[in-house]
Amino acid sequence: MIKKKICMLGAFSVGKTSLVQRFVKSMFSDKYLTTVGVKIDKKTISVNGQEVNLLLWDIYGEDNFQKVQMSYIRGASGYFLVVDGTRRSTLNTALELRERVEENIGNVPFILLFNKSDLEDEWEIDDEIIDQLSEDGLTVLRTSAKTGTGVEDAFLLLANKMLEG
Amino acid sequence: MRNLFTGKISGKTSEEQRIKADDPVEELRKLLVGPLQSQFDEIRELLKDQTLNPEEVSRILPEAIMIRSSRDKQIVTAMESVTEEAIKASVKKNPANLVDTLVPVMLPAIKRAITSLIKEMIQTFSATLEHGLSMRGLKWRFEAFKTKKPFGEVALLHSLVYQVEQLFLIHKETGLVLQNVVTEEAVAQDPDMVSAMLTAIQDFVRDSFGAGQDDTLENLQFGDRSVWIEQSSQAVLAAVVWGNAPAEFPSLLRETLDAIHFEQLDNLRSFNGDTAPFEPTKDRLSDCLKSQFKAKEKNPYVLWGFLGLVMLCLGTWSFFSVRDYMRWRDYLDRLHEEPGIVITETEKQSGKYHVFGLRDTLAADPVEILKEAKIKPGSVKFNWELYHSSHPTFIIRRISSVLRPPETITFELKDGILWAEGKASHQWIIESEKLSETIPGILGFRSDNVIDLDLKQIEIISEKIENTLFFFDRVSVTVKSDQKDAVDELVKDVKNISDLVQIFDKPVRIEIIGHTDSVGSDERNLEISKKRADELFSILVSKGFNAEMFISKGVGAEEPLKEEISEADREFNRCVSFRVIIDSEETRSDESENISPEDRSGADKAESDPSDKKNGVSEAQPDSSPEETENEEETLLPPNWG
Ligand SMILES: Nc1nc2c(ncn2[C@@H]2O[C@H](COP(=O)(O)OP(=O)(O)O)[C@@H](O)[C@H]2O)c(=O)[nH]1
Ligand SMILES: [Mg+2]
Repeated sequence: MIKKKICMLGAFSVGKTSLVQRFVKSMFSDKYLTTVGVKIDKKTISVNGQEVNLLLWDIYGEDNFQKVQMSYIRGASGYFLVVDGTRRSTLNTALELRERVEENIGNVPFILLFNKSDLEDEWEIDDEIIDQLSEDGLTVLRTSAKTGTGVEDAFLLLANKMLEG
Repeated sequence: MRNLFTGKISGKTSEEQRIKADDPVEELRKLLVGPLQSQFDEIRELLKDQTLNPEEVSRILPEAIMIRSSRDKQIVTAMESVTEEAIKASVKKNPANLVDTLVPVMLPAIKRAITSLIKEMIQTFSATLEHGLSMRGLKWRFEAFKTKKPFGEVALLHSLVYQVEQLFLIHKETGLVLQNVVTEEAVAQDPDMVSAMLTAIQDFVRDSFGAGQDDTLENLQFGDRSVWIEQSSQAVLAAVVWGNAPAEFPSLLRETLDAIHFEQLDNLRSFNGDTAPFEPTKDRLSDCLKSQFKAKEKNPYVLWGFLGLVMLCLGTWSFFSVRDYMRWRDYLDRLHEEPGIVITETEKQSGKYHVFGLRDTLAADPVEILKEAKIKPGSVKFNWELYHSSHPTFIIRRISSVLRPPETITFELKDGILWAEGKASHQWIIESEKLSETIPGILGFRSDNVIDLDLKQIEIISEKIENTLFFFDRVSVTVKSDQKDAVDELVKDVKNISDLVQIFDKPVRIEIIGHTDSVGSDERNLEISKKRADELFSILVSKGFNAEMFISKGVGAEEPLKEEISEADREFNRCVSFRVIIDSEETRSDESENISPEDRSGADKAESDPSDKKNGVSEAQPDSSPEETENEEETLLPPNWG
């Protein structure tokens, strides 16, 4: 059995928990280790015919009062940087987090998720910015935890990236 | 300095004077001892020079120390404080130096000493207790007879001070489980999740309390259970222990981890998610589980003391009132019969009953039973050891705490298989089937007798939709205005069913079937019936449903809902009916045959040939808008048609 650790990172309330919930559909989902600031979920998926056990670490969002604890990302094989498309500042948070992550665990596959794509009217982040990031070599996806758009794809893509690297 | 200088000069001066004074004698002396004189002068110089020559000292120092040491302890005394200071200074500068030097030498020795000490201790204890007290053996036999339990089980329960229920070998960096073993008696949690959580807790403690990378949490207490943790640089070994683990348990863990660390170092370092290479560690971990059943450690003196007390109790027996005695005996009988309670010893001491035994946390409360037996709760002191009863009701309750069934579900254990019965959500059924695989102590889980509530709900709504009819005036293709409420109801039902089927990941399709009465030509009837179906199709699509969901078709008068005898029958047949098609293999609920194979093949046919004009079937594509139809209807059709 192949096991991999994946971290969900991003500002507070961007939809990390919702994305995991949508992907896992698990009844464990309410087991948030609140004091510790992590919620762990698990899902087995099949990548190129190979069973992979994904351990999903949903890490309490970064806000003014609490920083993301970098020790939680130790040993992660991949991570998501989640951005709330309707809040411009969350993109900055995500990019800052990426720098801190790379300082800590180096170059590990990650995907930048622009979540809440169902609220496209309220978006504060233009397509140009997203295209630019994509041109800069980042893997960028649009998701909606609400409608499920792109969620499965995001996890499969990251799993694929992790198994390649 | 100046004194020395002057002293030396004055010395030389007096010699010269002497040489001058006794010249002939000096001459003679030179002749006689001349060669010796220069050596003598050298010696004299040496003696005069009070400062030590390091070169010289280094040559004789070791020997000097040896000689002196053999004589007395003065050197040791002299060195003592210096050495102490030196070590202190060294540790202050860099503790790692000293640790690095000492650990390899001392650790194995310390370990060996402690291990053998513990072994000896345990052996002495077991020997004393196993053979020394046949009284207890007899007691247990009696108890086995009374509770109808095998003797072995009773004995095991008595000696069960603690149990190592589960062991996790965890990769330190990733927190992923490399290997996991569990005893048959324990209800195991998902090892991957437990391990990840443990790792998170460790990280948290380390970060929050500012401890260093190697400072670790060694023991976490959770109710009756504790989690013991040992770490190496690459791996973590965590043990879930029920009861009180003995003091030597951490060292057993440590040794196991050390051995695994040593054997698996390469695999640990290169771990990339594949746990297969760690398969061989299973034996070592299992050894840890098995060897942890120990005899109850009890001081023999206490036991003899207890026997003495029993004698005392017997002696004072006659003082107890017969009534109290009878009540007490009835009460004990009652406890004996209570599942999940095993009484091992009872005694009366200074007017108070003491009850010793084993009790499952799920068993009835002995204090409550006491009240029922009219015995004052204050007069009894209970000393329970916790244990897991293998009584089916307890097994089921323990399982329930994991599966968390809704109130509508009951469990039954038959031949080791856990049967669920009742009603539950689809989500619960699926989760339980998954979770049940991780529950030890049962051979399987069957949900055949569980009615899937979501599926049931789908069936109910399907039936409701299929019982809905929309009626039309002759030739008309417009829904009668008095059926407006029915339209709203239909929209609500379609919405509900399309939401519900998402749980099953199966698409739902609704066939909209237009009908006419048998008056008129087949061809026109087909056309009208199709338009009637399209009318409903347009209404539904206008409410925001996806057009793909519907198959609109007209069957003319070919499938009348009623045999046409009267005008009323004809009126009834001028209608639109529905058929719900769900592509589902799930046939849990008793009524799921609703979706019959014919229906399915019908749907298939419709899908495979959407342009089947003969049947007036077209898939999700009405021919024209409702208004147009109405106009056409009025202008093109003879009044007696439809
Ligand atoms: N409209 C919309 N709301 C979302 C989406 N994802 C999350 N939310 C909402 O955003 C809020 C925060 O989501 P949560 O998952 O708790 O964010 P977290 O703090 O990053 O874990 C909740 O109210 C969610 O319902 C999405 O894709 N679309
Ligand atoms: Mg969250």
